[in-house]
Amino acid sequence: MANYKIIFTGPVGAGKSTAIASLSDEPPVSTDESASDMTKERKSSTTVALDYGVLQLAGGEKIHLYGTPGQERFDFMWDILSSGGIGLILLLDNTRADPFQDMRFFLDAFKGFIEQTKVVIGVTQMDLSPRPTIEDYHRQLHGMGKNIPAFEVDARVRKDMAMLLQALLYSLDPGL
Amino acid sequence: MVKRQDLVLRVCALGFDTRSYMALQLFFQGKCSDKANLSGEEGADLAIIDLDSFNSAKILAAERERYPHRPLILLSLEEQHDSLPGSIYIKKPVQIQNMLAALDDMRSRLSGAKSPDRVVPFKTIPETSEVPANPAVAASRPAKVKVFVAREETQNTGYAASLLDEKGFGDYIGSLQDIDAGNPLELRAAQYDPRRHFQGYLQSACKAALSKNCALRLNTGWKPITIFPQSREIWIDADDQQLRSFCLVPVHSIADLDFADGGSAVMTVTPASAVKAKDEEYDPSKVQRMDALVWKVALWTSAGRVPDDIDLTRPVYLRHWPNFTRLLVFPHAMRVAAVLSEQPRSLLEVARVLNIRQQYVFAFFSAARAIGLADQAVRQAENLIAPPPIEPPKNAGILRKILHRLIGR
Repeated sequence: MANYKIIFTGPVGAGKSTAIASLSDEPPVSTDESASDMTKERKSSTTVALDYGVLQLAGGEKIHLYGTPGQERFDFMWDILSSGGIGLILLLDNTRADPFQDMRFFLDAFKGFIEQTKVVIGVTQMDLSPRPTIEDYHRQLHGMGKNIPAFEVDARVRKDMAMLLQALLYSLDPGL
Repeated sequence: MVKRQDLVLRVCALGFDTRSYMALQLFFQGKCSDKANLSGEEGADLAIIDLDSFNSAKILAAERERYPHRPLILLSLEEQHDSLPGSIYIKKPVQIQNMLAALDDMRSRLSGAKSPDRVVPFKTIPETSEVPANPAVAASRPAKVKVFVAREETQNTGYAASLLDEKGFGDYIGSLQDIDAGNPLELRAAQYDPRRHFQGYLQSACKAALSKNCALRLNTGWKPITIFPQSREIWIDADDQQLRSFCLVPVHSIADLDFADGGSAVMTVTPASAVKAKDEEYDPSKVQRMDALVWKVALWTSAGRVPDDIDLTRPVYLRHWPNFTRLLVFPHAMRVAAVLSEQPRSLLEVARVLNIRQQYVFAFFSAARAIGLADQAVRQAENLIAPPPIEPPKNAGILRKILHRLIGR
């Protein structure tokens, strides 16, 4: 049986682990370590290996949900993780100093994968930091020559994450 | 092509107070959504008049003068013995069955078909004989007035209201059959003018508040609405049901119903207090996001139609995907967004390639345009080359399974 996967990526603290937990039909596997260096100020622990969850489909098929580690020194894993993936969900933390820089970084890091598939963007923590707005993100994307679905999401809320995943699916095939 | 007898009747309601109008609205959205829709006065196929309203005589006289050939359904507590040619009288309390029967009768008349025999739960008062002043005129008059007197039956309007909620977004759009854009009659049925409804005023007020960067109050003549541009929020003391009913009343009809502020016939905008956090007047639970409210208002007002300045055969564009997680989402909205975000297409073509009813595409466009995300394409290049067909990806099967899993099928 073929293995299908959806990749969750984004900077530390964006909510990747939480998002996978919201969607997964099984308790997600998470490998957390005490944070070191600059991540410590944002979170007391951080994912240094990966998050894993699964969506059970009718007929016994599974969709594997992989979350990339948020720390850049693990970027060699991103290529391995994304290989064979259906699409990419990029989560951005709106409370970070420069979320636009984060966006540019990750879109560039996964450029090859995105060209083969699709990406959607979920912006988290907008209740704590309402700016930049979603419209601001679209303005940035337009300047980069891109038109990507971008939603305000709460990674804890399954409905938000399900809608983001639906947007990814419809981006891949509007005829679904 | 849609046959005339299959067309949904456009019905205007005159002389109703707000509560009665909303009750009528619930009826049209539920039981007879495939037979008739409430619409504005202009272009309506028939009119329903409440003869018990305080200025009903004036309303009736104006109606006969402006639209002498438009059939009427007349509602009253009192039995009516004076006949009006082409009219149907229903005694209050109005029962659903009687209204449905009257609408069926009207549809038959308008389509020229023979009225079918039917059993309806009402008592027919024997038609009174008439002594026409001019026999020649009498000979050319249509059938005499039919009178329906309802039995004492209880009506569960609460059930109707919960049905409206539970039936989902289809009730928000109403029911508009697919049109042939080459048929002017059908085209007209699929268009509306946002400026003649609350939607137009709300959009203008929001635009003014954002450009001036100061809080504004929109005085609607019904409930005040306060717009806070810096937080992009709107305060309104009304629930969705009330607001939706208000959205469907043409602005000039609001003036006719005589609850406009100070006798003003139009809505006005005045500065408002921006210190909403400290102002006890503003209940935080009644605050809504600006984009979400304008989106909703446009959806309700459009009722599956498109603004009348849009050419359905020319491409439209979508600037970017709407922020769906914070908006009212309806069937096929994401699919329409996916298609339009790739390349401009005409609305009719979007419906065709997705194989969905046009009303979903029209509603999406109306709402997206209302929040500034969509409009008619103007560049000639977008009209020159037809967009490519949508090809499903190789893994469409697994994508469909994931989608079904997410939406619980």
